[in-house]
Amino acid sequence: MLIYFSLTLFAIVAALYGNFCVFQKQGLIADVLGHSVFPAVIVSILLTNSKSYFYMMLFSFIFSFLSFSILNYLKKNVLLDKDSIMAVVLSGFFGLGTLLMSVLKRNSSNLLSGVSDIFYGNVSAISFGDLRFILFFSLLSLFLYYFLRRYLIFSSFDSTFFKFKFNIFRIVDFLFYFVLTFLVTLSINLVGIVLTSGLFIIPCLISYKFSRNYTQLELFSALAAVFSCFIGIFISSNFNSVPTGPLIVITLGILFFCSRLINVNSLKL
Amino acid sequence: MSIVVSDLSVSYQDFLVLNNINFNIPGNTITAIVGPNGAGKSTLLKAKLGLTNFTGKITFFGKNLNESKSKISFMSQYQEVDWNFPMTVFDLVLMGRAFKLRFWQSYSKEDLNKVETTLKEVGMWSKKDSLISNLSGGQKQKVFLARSLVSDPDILFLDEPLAGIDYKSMGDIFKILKKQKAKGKTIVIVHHNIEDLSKHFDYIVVVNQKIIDFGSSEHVLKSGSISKAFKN
Repeated sequence: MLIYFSLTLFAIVAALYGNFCVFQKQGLIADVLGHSVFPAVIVSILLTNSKSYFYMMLFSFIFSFLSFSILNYLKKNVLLDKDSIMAVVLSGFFGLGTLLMSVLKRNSSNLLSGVSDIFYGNVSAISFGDLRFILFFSLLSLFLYYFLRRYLIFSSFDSTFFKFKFNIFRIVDFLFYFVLTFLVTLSINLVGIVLTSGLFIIPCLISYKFSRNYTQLELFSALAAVFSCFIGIFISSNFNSVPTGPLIVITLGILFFCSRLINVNSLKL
Repeated sequence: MSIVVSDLSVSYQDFLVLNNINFNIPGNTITAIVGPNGAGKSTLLKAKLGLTNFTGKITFFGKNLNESKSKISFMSQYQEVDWNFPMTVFDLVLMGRAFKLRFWQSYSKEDLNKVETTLKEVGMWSKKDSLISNLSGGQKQKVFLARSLVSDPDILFLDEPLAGIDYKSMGDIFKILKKQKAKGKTIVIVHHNIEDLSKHFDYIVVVNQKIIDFGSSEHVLKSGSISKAFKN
């Protein structure tokens, strides 16, 4: 039960924060952070000569934060659109990860088993202790969301007005990306680095069509996250060779296409 | 004088956008900032609001920006925001009251009543439950204006509030602004249409990287400085 409860709660929190990524026109941000986790995991294995969950998370967080800082620096100093800059950072970190992977293969090939889980997720590889950590952090992120929500709505809709009227805009921005970085790092257990953005972005795309206000958007995106996560965990934990990430993202993808087929006018709440 | 701008300069990297700007806008007036595209009109407005780095000094009723922020409101260009955001008209206007709240506080009855009064004032109360994505250009501008007015500011800065709207909506917005002026507010508008300046504005700032002219609308229109700014 703990696995269903903590991971579906995690998926809800990921969807709630992911909604703001979409409205801040940063759909690729979760992908950037996710891809920076790849070299982080390999560095962690190379340096500690073990697959310690704690060190993997620590290095993942450091690398995610590094990629986010590079992203911000480039946005301020390079006259390119956000998507192009994100594509540069994303592929750079993935390239670094691939390079480090070849070093790991040569030096410590015995530690390679299970590393592929970070690409597509595998819930059966998550320990009881990891689950408790995910549950604790999900609850903490949800608590923080309650206070950040109003300000994130303002900054997503009209960032200039928000910056002028609210002196706390830097704090809100920092907290949002800090939590997002942590969530992406934790999501590698569930969906893996390749499919991270699906978990964060698709629930918003599904719910947007049916929502008349932000509360409805939150509700529908949370429902989509719960449903897809439940299906993914159920199939993955009963058929051990099936990775969780693709199942969750395919379920979300099917929900997205179904939502396109529904006539909104007959449903609009 | 309510707004005093002294020796203001703004540059982006090595490019000087505004150079040594000086003018004083009297209180309880409607002032237009005009100039050709790329003249630095919006930059001037953003500098006044502290949204862009600048050198020089700006005061509002003798106080600096931080001391007077609660008494200033502004309306950004309506194209700058995401009108597809899932939000009702009422919620958008309510946003204008939020800066008075602590992060744990909810809106009070007074906040909700003020939104109702303001929406009625701009003629948009009947649309209070509409999604903002379903509004026409003129309606969007009115709702946006309502958000600026709902905090009851003394000074109002508007960036192109009449862009992309029909003639009737334009008239409606000027009626609302003149009512605000009658209540003692000081209004500064970045404006692109130079044909209706004498009709609606008390003062005009003509800018093209530097101040070309400033004064009463009568004086500026007679001097021919506007056509000079647009020719340069």
